[in-house]
Amino acid sequence: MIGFPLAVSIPRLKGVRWRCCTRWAEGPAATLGMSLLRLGICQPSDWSGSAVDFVERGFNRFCRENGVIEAKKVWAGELRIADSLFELTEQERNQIEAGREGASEQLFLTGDYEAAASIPIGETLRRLEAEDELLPAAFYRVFVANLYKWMRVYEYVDAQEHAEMWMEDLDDEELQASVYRKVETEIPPCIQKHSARMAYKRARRLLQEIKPAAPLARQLIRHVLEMDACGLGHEHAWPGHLNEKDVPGISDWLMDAESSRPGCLITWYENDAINACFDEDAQHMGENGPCQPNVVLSIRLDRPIRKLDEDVRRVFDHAGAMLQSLASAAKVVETIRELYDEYLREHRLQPGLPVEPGASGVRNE
Amino acid sequence: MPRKRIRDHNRDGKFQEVMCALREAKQVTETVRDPIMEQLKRCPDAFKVGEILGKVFDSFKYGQDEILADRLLPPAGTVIPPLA
Repeated sequence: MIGFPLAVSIPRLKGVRWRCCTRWAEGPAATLGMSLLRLGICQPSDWSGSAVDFVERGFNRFCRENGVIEAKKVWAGELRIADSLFELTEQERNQIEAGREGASEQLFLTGDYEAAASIPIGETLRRLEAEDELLPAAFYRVFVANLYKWMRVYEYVDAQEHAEMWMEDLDDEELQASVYRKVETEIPPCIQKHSARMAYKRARRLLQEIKPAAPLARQLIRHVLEMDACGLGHEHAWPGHLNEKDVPGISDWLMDAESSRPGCLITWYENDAINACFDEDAQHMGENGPCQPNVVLSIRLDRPIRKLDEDVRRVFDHAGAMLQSLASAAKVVETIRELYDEYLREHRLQPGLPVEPGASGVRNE
Repeated sequence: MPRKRIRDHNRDGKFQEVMCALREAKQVTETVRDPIMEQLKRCPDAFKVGEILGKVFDSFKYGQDEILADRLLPPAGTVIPPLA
């Protein structure tokens, strides 16, 4: 039977995977897949004929179960399993694999952020201060300390460093007009006054004990304490934690690479002095080399089964804690943004004040 | 009334089946060798030879001497193993 002649015909391929997996990728994925199957993270029903697909299905389900959908509402980034720490072109990958004896014996779980999530926290601190004088500093300390477990945070301290560096070269007249001076003056008094003496443990205790009257404050504290509980016992897995014995060549790579890109930007209000310093810093990020990922954990595949399973369990426990903590953090950030939007709406209605752009518009830019 | 716990043989069977398939996938990676890649590993200079040949063909193809290019170039789509 001959069909009508058509200018273009596209065959429909059923049951064919939309991806080509090289045998170099299948080997390490098979070793990891066996471990994930033993640990119950992958299930027999995940098997589709490819080890890479098998691991991907198990990993995706694991991420969903640990709150990736909630976390993604605020954090744009990726958590991935790869056999290289660096981004490679197809040609570079082929060259490495041609020169390698056998399959890769190491995998990395890396976490990175495509953009810094905007967190204009000023209005939230003002509301918390109405409950208790020490509450804003305690809330800020626990919230930021927990974010630091999973990402580089750009906050007023980073802006202060940036401003100090640039102010050295300015004369008095330029200083008067400069935004750098505002970094210091814009710090809210509740933070300026209490943050130095607000150690992490004291701050957490205060959050656990305080009983705020406002439901919104109670909700914020609950979510921050949830974050804290999820991250308990975990430290930030910076690439700098990897040593030469585990990852040959890591020292040279770290020397050439730049610091991680921040996963969030904590400002008092959008477009304030912190924001201005961040914009200047961000222009030069990645200019002198690749930026390190925010999180890196390595898995050695050439170990006895028991050790391998322990290693995989450790890495997946960390990933699970990170996702759960970021899911709670996303709820905190959404509330902070709602409060900020409310503040903008209220202030826009007052006569004589300039109209400010909506927070969502600023964030979209 | 307490229910009898029935062991899911089918599930265990599937577990073992997938474990075997993964073991095979790993072994295939370790044992299968690409003959061309093996030859290239023994003689990395072949990469350079291929690169030089490519440049020679390009110079014929895009140069002035079209008659010579027709005689030298293999038919389109021909794959030439570097160390055949």
